[in-house]
Amino acid sequence: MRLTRGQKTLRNALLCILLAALVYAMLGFPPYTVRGMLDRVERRYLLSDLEPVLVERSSWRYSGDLLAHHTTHLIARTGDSYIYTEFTRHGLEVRPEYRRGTKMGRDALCLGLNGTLYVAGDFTEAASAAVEVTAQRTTRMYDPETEEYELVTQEKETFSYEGEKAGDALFSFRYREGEEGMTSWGAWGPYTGLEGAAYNWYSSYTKGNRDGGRGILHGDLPVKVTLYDGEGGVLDTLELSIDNYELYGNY
Amino acid sequence: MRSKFEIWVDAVCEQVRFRPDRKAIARELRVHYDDHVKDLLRLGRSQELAEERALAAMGNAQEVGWALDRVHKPWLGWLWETSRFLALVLAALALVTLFHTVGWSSLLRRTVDELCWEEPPASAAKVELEHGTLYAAPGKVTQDPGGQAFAEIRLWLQTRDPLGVDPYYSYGIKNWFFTYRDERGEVPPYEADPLTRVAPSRYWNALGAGRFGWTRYRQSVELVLDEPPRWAEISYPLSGQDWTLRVEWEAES
Repeated sequence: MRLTRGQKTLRNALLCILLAALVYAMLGFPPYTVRGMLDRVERRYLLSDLEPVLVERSSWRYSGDLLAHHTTHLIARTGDSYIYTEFTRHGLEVRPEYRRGTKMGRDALCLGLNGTLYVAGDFTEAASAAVEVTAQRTTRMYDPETEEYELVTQEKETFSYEGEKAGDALFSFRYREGEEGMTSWGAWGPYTGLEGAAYNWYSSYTKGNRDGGRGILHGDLPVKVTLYDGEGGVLDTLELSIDNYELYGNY
Repeated sequence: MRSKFEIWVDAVCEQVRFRPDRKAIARELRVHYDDHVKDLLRLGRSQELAEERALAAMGNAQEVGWALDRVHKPWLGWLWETSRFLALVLAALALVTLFHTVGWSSLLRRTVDELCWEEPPASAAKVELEHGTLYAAPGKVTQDPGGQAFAEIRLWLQTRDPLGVDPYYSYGIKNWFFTYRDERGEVPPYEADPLTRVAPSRYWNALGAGRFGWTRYRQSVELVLDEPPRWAEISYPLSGQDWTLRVEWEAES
């Protein structure tokens, strides 16, 4: 049977729909919109009615990559619960939690992202906020002969920053010194500021290792957020913590 | 020098607005014309006369052109061309996806896991959530010679819609921020001591990879404890949801 042009067009359209559905399914039904991403998070983490608090996008590429990776960082809330997650798109593929894991918090959540510390919570009545992040020089030494670890903690330093209100549920605190952050660092990273402390102060070494290889320890840094009302009176303080890995570099 | 027929064909094709079809139309007209010329030659007409008669029989170039233009509608032509192009692109994309990503194996695995789902026992504790139903039942309890106890909690989740698939990773129940507790208090997730790298004496951990269908999930969680528990409770306080699932192990006689 010879098909007319209209029938061929219809056949091709049906084929396109079938192929598109197949590709979409093989890619794992990737979400391309913020709403789609939040729906995915709701189902994956058994939550409901998530509303976005922060949407930050960044793009990066590995050397030799034809297409850039586009990461969407999301903080969302439902009731008193806050969740951070990210989705990274590369071409048509969208991978959840590609660079960072999801984290959740009750009442408040803090996130370090590209030189800015974000604190999410119910800040309807807060007019301004300040944050104090305390870093402590921590070194872990592994002795392969005795198979023992030695942990040395040294000086502490508290870094304070003024916040900028970005809605009823979000404050941002810019802590990066300079514009470029890690991309402008020398071989050994920055020596000052919170970003430098997060990078340089948490180290692990192996005794007798001749190449001097240094690992970066994970450390939870205490974060104290003070909320102020319009007249400068203290409304509330929040005690949170943040992993040092979140505080340096660009993700 | 161009023949009279070629001039006639050009005049016809000029009327057809959908340019990509012009070549095919010219070919088709040439076949008709040649057939007619051959017939007339067989009847004993001279070459010149046969060509002249055949051309006259083809009709007025402009009218033939208009008629063909009505059949070869530009919008339909472009729609057809686009549909062909799109089908080709999507077919290529499907092939690339098939071989480049692990999509096909994920589809297969999810479908097998969906079909091979084992129903939770009737005695399983369950809670209805917005996206589906979560079941929990006690599994095996074992104890090693050192006295450490391993208590399995079996979890099932049946969702109304597909939970969301990542073809690269098997994200399981271990990623949910559940809280586990037994009669001696909260059981924290596994985290080695940062100093000694030694595992804590009480913790919970996901057991095995679990099964992940499209809407049906199975995962076991292991409580590693100092002694066998009598019961354990699962809750999800971080989400703000107020539910608790309780599983109880029968005491050994």
